[in-house]
Amino acid sequence: MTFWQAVFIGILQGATELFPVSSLGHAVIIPSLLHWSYKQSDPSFLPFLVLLHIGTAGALFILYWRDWVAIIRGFVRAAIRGRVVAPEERLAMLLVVGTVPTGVVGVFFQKDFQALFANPRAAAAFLVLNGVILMGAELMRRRAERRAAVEGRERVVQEEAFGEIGGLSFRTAALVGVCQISALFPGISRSGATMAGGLLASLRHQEAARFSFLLATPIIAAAGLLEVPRLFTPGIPLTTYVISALLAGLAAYGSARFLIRYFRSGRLDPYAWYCVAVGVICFALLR
Amino acid sequence: MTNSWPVTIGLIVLAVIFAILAYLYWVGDIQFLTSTGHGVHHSHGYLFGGLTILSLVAANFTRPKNKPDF
Repeated sequence: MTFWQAVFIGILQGATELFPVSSLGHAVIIPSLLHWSYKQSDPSFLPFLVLLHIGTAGALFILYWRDWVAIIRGFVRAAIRGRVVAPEERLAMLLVVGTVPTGVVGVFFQKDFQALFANPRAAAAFLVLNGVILMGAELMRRRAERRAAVEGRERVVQEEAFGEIGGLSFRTAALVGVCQISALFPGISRSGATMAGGLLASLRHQEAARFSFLLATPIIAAAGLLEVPRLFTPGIPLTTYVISALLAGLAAYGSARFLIRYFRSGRLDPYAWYCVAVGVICFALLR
Repeated sequence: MTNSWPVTIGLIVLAVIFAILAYLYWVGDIQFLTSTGHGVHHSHGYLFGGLTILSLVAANFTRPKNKPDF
């Protein structure tokens, strides 16, 4: 992999990690479309992905650092006390409940899912499926809006009819966490799956995005940190990888800020259509 | 969450089982559902270590208390 290819993949991964369009799918499909010669099964590619994930998780920690300080304190307090008494303690426990399913499945079956990495056509097909999931979530949301009698009103008013993260039950948080498992397939977006789960759980779009980003942070960070020892393999171009990771972090920070603002009134529809269109085109081109 | 001693004791037993599994994966004595089928699997060890802590936290939550939950 050349320096500029690494930089491009870094920015692409950081920018698409938080958009509901599957960063992994893009990282698999685009190099194949551009006929780049490096192999993603190469032992030096995993450390590269590790650093990009650390960069993205770092950006999310910086963006939500106040929340994370409160969440970590809240977890420790509630765990010692054996009782939840404050909103940040409840949020901490919701995140734990939502993170465990992906953590368990990821550790045991990650390699099986990674076997699909070498197949860009499978990633393109999953990208189409991702678009269908997002469309389905918005369809269900529109039905919920009709039931709440806010159909046709201003988007901000429509959003006010739905809830915040604090109102989630632990069972619902676990189900949103289960949705995150689907993101182990390249082409299915982690943030898309959890945002769709959040919408089905009657969260506002902005709250669904916030919960998705908070839920993603420990998983992305753990996936990166667990593989840190691989970075010290001889022959790894560490400087290039670190620069790419920094750019991935910057891109992730920018895209997270954009999305939080966008989801005040925006919907998942544009991303759904993008996934379907790009997935179909790539599936045809990658014959 | 149900507050009763049997649930609490069950979760403590589960925590002990998870702790043993964490140790066995860490030293490489078991290979169940691992990718290579040999060697140590630190990620599995970390996972079961984390599940041990969470089981103990859950046990503390289910321990019967005098005050009602939030």
